[in-house]
Amino acid sequence: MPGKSSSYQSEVENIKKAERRLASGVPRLDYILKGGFLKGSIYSVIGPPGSGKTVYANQLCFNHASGRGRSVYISILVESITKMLGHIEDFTFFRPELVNSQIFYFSGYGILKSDGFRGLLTMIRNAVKEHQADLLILDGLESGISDRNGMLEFKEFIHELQGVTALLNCTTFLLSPANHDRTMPQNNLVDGIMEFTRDLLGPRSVHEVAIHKFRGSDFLQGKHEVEITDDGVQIHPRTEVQFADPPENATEERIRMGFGITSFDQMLTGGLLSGTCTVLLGAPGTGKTILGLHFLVEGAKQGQSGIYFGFYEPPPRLIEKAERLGLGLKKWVDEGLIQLIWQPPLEHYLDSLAEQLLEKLRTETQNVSRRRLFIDGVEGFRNANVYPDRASRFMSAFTNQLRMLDVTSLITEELPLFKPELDMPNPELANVVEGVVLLRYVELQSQIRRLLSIMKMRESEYDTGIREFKITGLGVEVTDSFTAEAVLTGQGRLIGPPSQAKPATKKKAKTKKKSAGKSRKGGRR
Amino acid sequence: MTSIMVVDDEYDIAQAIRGILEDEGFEVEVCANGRHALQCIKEKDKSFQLVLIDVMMPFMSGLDLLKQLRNDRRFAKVPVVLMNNTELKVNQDEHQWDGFLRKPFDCNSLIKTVSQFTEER
Repeated sequence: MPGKSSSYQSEVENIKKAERRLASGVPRLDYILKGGFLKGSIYSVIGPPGSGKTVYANQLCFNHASGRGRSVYISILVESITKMLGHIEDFTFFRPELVNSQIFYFSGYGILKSDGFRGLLTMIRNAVKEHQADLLILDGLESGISDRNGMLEFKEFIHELQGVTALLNCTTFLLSPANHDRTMPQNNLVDGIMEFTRDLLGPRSVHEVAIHKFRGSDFLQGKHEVEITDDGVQIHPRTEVQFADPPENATEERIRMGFGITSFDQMLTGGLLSGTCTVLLGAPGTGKTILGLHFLVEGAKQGQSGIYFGFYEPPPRLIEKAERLGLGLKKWVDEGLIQLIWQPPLEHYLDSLAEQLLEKLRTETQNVSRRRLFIDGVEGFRNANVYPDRASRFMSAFTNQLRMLDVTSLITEELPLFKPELDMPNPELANVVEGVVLLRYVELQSQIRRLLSIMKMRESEYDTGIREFKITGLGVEVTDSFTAEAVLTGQGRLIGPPSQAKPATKKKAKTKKKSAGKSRKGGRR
Repeated sequence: MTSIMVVDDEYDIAQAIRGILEDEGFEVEVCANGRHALQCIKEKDKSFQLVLIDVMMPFMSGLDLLKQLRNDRRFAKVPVVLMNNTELKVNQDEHQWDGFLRKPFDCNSLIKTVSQFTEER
């Protein structure tokens, strides 16, 4: 286009693309489809009973009506429309005033029974034209195939339907209660196939959706989580597929993000590097949550916003705990600089958790730089994951997104309470984070002591010493280096009085392998 | 025997209404849409004491069928009960229906409404 800038041309191109698409309005489905369904196309939606097909189709109609679109919904199932409407009226998308004004419900069962597919096609054509619909739903089409209306007639019907709906520029969805394979006759003929599944994985019912075919456009492949809530069908694309190709982190001005604990910040050469992820590794009660709260509060003191994203302690209890230690968390929560997001201990969806957090971080524009995040703990994500082999890819994609958003993250990881060996339950986590800080109990002189050591800190110098730390009325206090042997095994031995020597400093130390120190029989010698 | 015509595209609803009304001793003719109803009226050449019509139907809406019936000498005075999933937003004086059943309705509401128009006659 002569005389027009390239940005203008790309804008025009985007508008043209958008005009060719029908937005579903179903959260994140259009993202999976790279912009929505192609107008005038015909799609097959398959899935077993109870997998969410009917809810999805109705949601589509109501969302479409919100944008002044008009839909015709023809049920070929024996179940009445009245009953179906009764089932969907509790969803938030349902608006009764749209029924029979912009969404027109008909039963096609009687026509199909008396006049076959030919009669049904006439009815469809008539209804779409009469009500000027640009969205058509045919629910329960498979039930129309019988001895009388054979497979050949059915295939011819689909062909003719494609022609009719293309001419009328009416985007069509064929809902089939199939749960076996994707070789149903219509699937060879349609422009796209969307499959809802519902499986029992252990005691858990897992709903998913997959796009198997989508003519004319790219799409996000594979299975994606589906949640059916009061708002209808919610889709959570797989995190590792969404962010498979992350751009390079553009943040150049890195700063140190301290904990407000002088000696610990010294060990970290001033604090964690901004835009990095660090794991706090430790058994229950070692002080991981308290250290994390220190991190958030110190940020707030510097005017940096922070988010606590936890699974165990509800906010009131967390505030109470922090107040007891004199951290002053409540003040920052009241001022809105620290947000406490608590996930009740229920069944969660892995991608939904990541999405919730990432969308929050993306949409918060106030004080967008130098934000702090404390995830307490990673087990919450692990418990939500129904496919163990996803863990590594998920964590990699998720932490990459946090870096891209210039968020400095601290993530807790639980170790067993009484186990001398250091087995990281999530070894893949250690690979994708920049830092690992270990908190450990050690038994010395009939005392249980807490030790802290930095096991790994990429891109930064750090103190390799092992320090004792105490939880006092003033929060966490880190003491001098600890002079003992084999303390990381949890079965340390004192080798002299505590050293007053300055701690050693290490530059880009190699990651320590997990110590598999076997306890000697007899315990302390 | 009192004859009632039921016009509804929802097969299960129409069959359920037929069953309930037959149990009550009525003779019931079921049609799947307005066109079928008009065809049935022509072919059978019989009179009905009451017509139950669903509003949202393919080919010919319930209101269009009602209009046709009111223009037919034989049906001008026959009571018509409309059935719909939502409240009607049209003028009753203009369309001249006699009763209304909001779907979903129960057996008692159906019998009560039907009795109201059949006993009067």
